[in-house]
Amino acid sequence: MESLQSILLGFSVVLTPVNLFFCFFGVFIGTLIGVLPGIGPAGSVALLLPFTFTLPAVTAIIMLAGIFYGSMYGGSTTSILVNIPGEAASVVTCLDGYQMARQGRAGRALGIAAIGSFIAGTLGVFLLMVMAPPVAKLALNFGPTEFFALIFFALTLLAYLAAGSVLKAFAMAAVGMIIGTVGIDSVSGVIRFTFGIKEFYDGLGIVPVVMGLFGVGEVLINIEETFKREIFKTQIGGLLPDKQDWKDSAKPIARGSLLGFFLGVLPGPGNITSSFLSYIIEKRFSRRPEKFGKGAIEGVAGPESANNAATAGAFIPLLTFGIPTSATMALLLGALRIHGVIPGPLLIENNPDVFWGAIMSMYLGNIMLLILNLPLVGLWVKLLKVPYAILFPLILLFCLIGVYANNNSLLEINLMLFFGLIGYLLRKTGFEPAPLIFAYILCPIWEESFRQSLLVSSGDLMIFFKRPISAILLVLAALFIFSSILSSAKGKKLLDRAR
Amino acid sequence: MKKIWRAIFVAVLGWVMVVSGSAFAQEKFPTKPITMIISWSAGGGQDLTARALQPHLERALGQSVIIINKPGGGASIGFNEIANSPPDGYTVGQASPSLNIIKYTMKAGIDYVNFAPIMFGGYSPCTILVRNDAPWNTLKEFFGYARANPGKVRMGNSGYGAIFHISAIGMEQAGGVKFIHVPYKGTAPSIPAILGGHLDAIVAGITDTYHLIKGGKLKALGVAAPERSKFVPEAQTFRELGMDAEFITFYSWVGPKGMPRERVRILYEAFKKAIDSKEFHDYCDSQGVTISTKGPEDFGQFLAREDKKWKELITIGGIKPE
Repeated sequence: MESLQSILLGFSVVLTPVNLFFCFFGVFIGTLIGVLPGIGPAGSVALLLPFTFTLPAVTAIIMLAGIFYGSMYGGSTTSILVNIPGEAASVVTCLDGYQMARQGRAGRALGIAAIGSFIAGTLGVFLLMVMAPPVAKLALNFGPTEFFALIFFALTLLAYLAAGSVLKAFAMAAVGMIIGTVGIDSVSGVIRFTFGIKEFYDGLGIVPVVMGLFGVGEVLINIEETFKREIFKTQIGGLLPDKQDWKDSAKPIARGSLLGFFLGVLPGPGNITSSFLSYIIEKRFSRRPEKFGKGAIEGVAGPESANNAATAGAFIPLLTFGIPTSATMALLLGALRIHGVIPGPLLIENNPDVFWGAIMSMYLGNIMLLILNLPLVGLWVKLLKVPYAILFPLILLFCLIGVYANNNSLLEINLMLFFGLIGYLLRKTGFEPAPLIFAYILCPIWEESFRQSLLVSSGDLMIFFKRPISAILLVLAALFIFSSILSSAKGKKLLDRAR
Repeated sequence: MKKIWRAIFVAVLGWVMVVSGSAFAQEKFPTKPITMIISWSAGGGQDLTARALQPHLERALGQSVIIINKPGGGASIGFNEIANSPPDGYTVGQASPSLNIIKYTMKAGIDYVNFAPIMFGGYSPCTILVRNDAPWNTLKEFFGYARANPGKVRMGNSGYGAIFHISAIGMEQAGGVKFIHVPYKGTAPSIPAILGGHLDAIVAGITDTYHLIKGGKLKALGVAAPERSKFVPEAQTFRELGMDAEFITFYSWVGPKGMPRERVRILYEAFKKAIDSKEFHDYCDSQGVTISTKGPEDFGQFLAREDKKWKELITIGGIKPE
C-alpha cells in the first residue's frame, strides 16, 4: 500500500512553510490543551474548527490532528506534578506518576512520559501507514458481542487498579457503574436518573466527573493538608530517565503501544480505555506488583504510550472508512467533509495528498512534540516550587474554564464541584477514584453491547460463546479469575486441603 | 456673547446626537448580528451545513451570524433555547425532524407550534442501506426476503425513538414486514456493525453514508422520498413499489413563535439568497443533500403534516415519552 512514491508525496505536501507552521501550531496547542486540566482535545478542536474553513484541507487536518495527538503528550504533565489529570486519558498516570514526583523523580517521570509518547506515537503512525486496510478489516469483526466480551475481560482485571483495598475498589466501580446509567438509555429510550434535568439526558459527561473527582477533589484535600505537607525536596533528581528507568520502561512502552494502537482502532474511548488497561496489564505481569501505586515507572511508561498509540489507531477507521471512533474524530471527519474531502475507500485515490500529507505530518508532529516537551521538563519541574497557595487557585480556575468551554453549561460546573466534594470525601476515607472512572466509562458501553448482542441474536444467550473472538475473551477472563483465586491466600488453603 | 454661542453649539450637538441615535433604530432590520442556535455538537452534519451556509447568509443579511452549539437531549436543549428567545428576529435556530418527533417521544416540552417557520432548505431521504456484497440488489428483493423472514432482518438505526428508528417502523407498516431494530448511539457506530456483518441493513441518511456508497462498501436499496435521489439514482423509492413511506431528514431554520412577519420575510429572503449561492449548492452536492426550498407558509404546513404522520407512527411503534 505504501510505496516510496507515496511517502515522498506526503513529505512534499508537509514540507511547505504553511503546513509546517500549522503542524507546529497544532501540536503546540495540543500540548497546552493537554497540560491544562479541564479543556480536552474535543473542546479545542471544536473551537478551532471554524478557523480551518479558510485553510486548505490538508493544512486543516494536519493542524487538527496535531491538536489531538499533541494533547496526549501534555496530559501527563499535571498528572505527575500535582496529581490532577490534564485529561481523562491521563488519569492512571496520576497513580504512579505523582508518587514518583513526591519521591523527587518528577523529571524522570515526565521524561519517560514524553519519550514513551514519542515512541508510541511514531510506532502508531508507522503501523497506520503499513497496516491500515487489514487492521481496519480486522476491527470490523468486533460487533456488540465482542465488545461485551472485551469489556468483561477488562473489568475482571479491575482489582489491579487498586493500590489499597480491593474491596473498596470494587465499591468504587459499583458506584461508577451506577452513575454511568444516568441518561437516556440508547436501546429502550427510557430516561434514567435524570431527575427531570434535561442536560443529563446524555449522561453526566466525562469532563465534569473526571475533573471533579481528580481535579477539584485533589485541590480540596491539598488545601486541607497544606500546612501539614512538606515541600518537595529541592533535589528534583535527574531530569531525564536513567539506565534503570529505561530497562524498566522498555517493555511497558512496547506493550502499551501495541495495546493502545489496537484499542484505538475500535469505536469507543480508545485512549482512555487503553491507558487504564495498560496500567492493569503492567501491574498484572510485573514481577513486583507491590511497586505499583508507590512510584513504579512502568505505571507511567505503559499508559502514556498506550494513549498516544491509540490516537494513531483512531485514524484507521477514519481514513479507511470515514468512521469516527469518538467525538474528537467526528470533528476531524467534519473538517474533512466541509472541505469536500471524502474519507473512506476513495480517499487514497481522490485525495492522495491529504492522506499521505496527514500521515507524514504525524511523524513530523511527534518529533516536534518530543523536541517541545523534553526541554520543558525542566520548566515544569520548577513549577513544583511555586507555593501551593498560588498554584491551586490557578488549577481550579483552569478546571472551571475547561468544563465551561465544553458545553457552555453552568450545570456542568456545578456537577464538577459536586464531584469535587465527593472526591475529597473519597480521599479522606481511603477510597480511590480510579476504579470509579474505569467502570463509569466502560459499563454503559458494556450494557449497551450486551443488549445489542441479544437483539442481534434474537435472545440467544449462547451467542457470546458461539462467536470465536467473544468466546476466547470470556474464557480468558474466566482463567484470570481462577488463577487469581488459586493464587490468593484462601485459594492456597483450599488447594492444600484438596490434596 | 461667546458663552451663549457655545451653549447653543453644545445644545445643537446634543440634539443631533440624540436624533441620530433614534434614526439609527429606524434602519432596516437587521441592525446587529444574528445568533443562530444549533442544537447539535460542532462537526456533525447539521452543524457543518450551518457553517457552510454562514458566510453566504452573512453576505445576504449584511450582518454577522454567530453560531452557538447547544447540543444535548436529542436536540431538545437547543430547541428549548430557541423557543424561549425573544421573538425579535435576532435569534434563529436550525430545525430538523426532531422538532416534530420529540413532542411524542420525550417529555421535553417541545411543540412545533412554538416556533415560527422561516425557511426549509433541503433534505436527505431516509435510506435503506446494505453491504455491497449483500444478496439483495433492489428494494423489491429486500422486502421479498423480509416478508419471507419476519423478525429476522437486523435493521440498525441511530437510536431508539430517533428519526431513523421511527422511519424503519413506518417502512415495516408500509411493507408488511417485521425487522429486528438494533439501536446505536448515532449512525456512526452502526456503520462498522453493518460492514462487519453484525447487521443486515441500516436505515440512515445519505449524508452520513455517502462516502461509503461512493466507495463501494454500502449500497442504497431504497429511499423513502417522493422521488429518486440524484445521489443514489439506482435506489428505488417506496412509492414505486406501491408502499406509502416518505421519511426525510431535513435542514431548515426557525425562530421563536411570534416573530414579526416582516422580519420573517427579510430572513427568508436572506436565507434564499444564501442557499442559492453556487458554493452552498456545491457543498450540498458533496454531502448528498437535495436542495428544495419552502417558504414560511409552506414550511409551516409541512410541519403540521409531519406532526400527524409522526404521531401516528410513534403510537403504532409503542414509543412513549418517559
